[in-house]
Amino acid sequence: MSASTDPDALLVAAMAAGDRVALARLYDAHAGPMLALGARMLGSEHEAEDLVHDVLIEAWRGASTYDPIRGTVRTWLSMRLRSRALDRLRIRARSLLVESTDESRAQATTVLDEDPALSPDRHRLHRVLATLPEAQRVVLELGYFEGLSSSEISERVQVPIGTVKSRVAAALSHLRAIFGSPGRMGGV
Amino acid sequence: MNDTLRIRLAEYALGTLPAELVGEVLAQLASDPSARQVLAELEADMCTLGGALPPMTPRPAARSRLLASVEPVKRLLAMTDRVSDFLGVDRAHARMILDLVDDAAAWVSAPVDGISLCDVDGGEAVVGARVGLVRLRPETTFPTHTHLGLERTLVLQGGYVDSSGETHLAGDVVHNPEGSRHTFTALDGPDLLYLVALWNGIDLAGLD
Repeated sequence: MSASTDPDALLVAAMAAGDRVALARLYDAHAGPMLALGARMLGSEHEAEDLVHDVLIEAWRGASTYDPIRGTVRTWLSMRLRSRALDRLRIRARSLLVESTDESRAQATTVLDEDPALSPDRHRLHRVLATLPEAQRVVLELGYFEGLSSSEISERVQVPIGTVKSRVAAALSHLRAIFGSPGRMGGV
Repeated sequence: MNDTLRIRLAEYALGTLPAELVGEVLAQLASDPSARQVLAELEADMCTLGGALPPMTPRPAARSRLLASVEPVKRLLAMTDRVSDFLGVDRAHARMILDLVDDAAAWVSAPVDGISLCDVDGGEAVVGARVGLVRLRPETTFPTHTHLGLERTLVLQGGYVDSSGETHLAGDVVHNPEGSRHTFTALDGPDLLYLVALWNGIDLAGLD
């Protein structure tokens, strides 16, 4: 017997057996949040669409490697998406094809600036993020969404690198204290 | 776990850990299950940041493009030996049965919405039984019925919760003896697919 009855995990197991309908269902469940995260990180919906495509192809080919013991499918997809988005940001920075200007960053608004009809889970998270001290929230968002290194965050917010590290740890501890266990939130 | 390691794991999860320290953290993760657990929790927590963003609506063309990009592969090949043993047929016959899963023309709708059937030929392990593939859409309930003889099933994909409370998943073989009465509901996720060998049929109260 397999280890999980999580619907997403069953879809991934079916994908591993070559079920394209399962991939379609996984897409329908996760593409929207994935696209939002990709667009937030890359500042481009078009590029985010390519990113989501690549990550789901990767998930299709690597479906048999998914281990539900290590985390939810949502986490699995999210970490892959973020990792590939950071790859793209690094390539972009190296090639200097696109300059990272304040203007381009302005397209990617902060989480707390957005308030369309949030689902109950997202609304809850929205409120939780608002409880983070501003300094912690900023370093977390710069690291998570923009892929900045600790030293880059240090320069951006004008604090010592050691302070950045401790703020990151404190912010994540705060989230852990609030959420307690993985996989309790919606979205990717 | 000391604070230094905890901070490094947080930095590693976030991607801000300096490259010269990554090897050290990877070595720690390889040898320390508690560090792996902390990292898994950090990664899950970070996903909640993505979850704070309002989802966007992908263009329909993006979905079509994705599905057109994945290579067609033979379905359920890993089940070939199980089907062969279950029915008492050779592997080639088992492969042929599994190929029917994706052959829409081989399936007929059952009287219950969300359920379809595909008769197949069994082998020496199921002599005298009606044998077939059954497909239930996610969360479809098979109505309460009584077995007029033995039923054996092999779950090929997805899973279901029986009225007894037991959950059965792909790879499980289930025996329902003559006279047993139950209902079951397919789990959310992919379609539930199973192979059934049925002796003397079932009494499906209220349905023809």
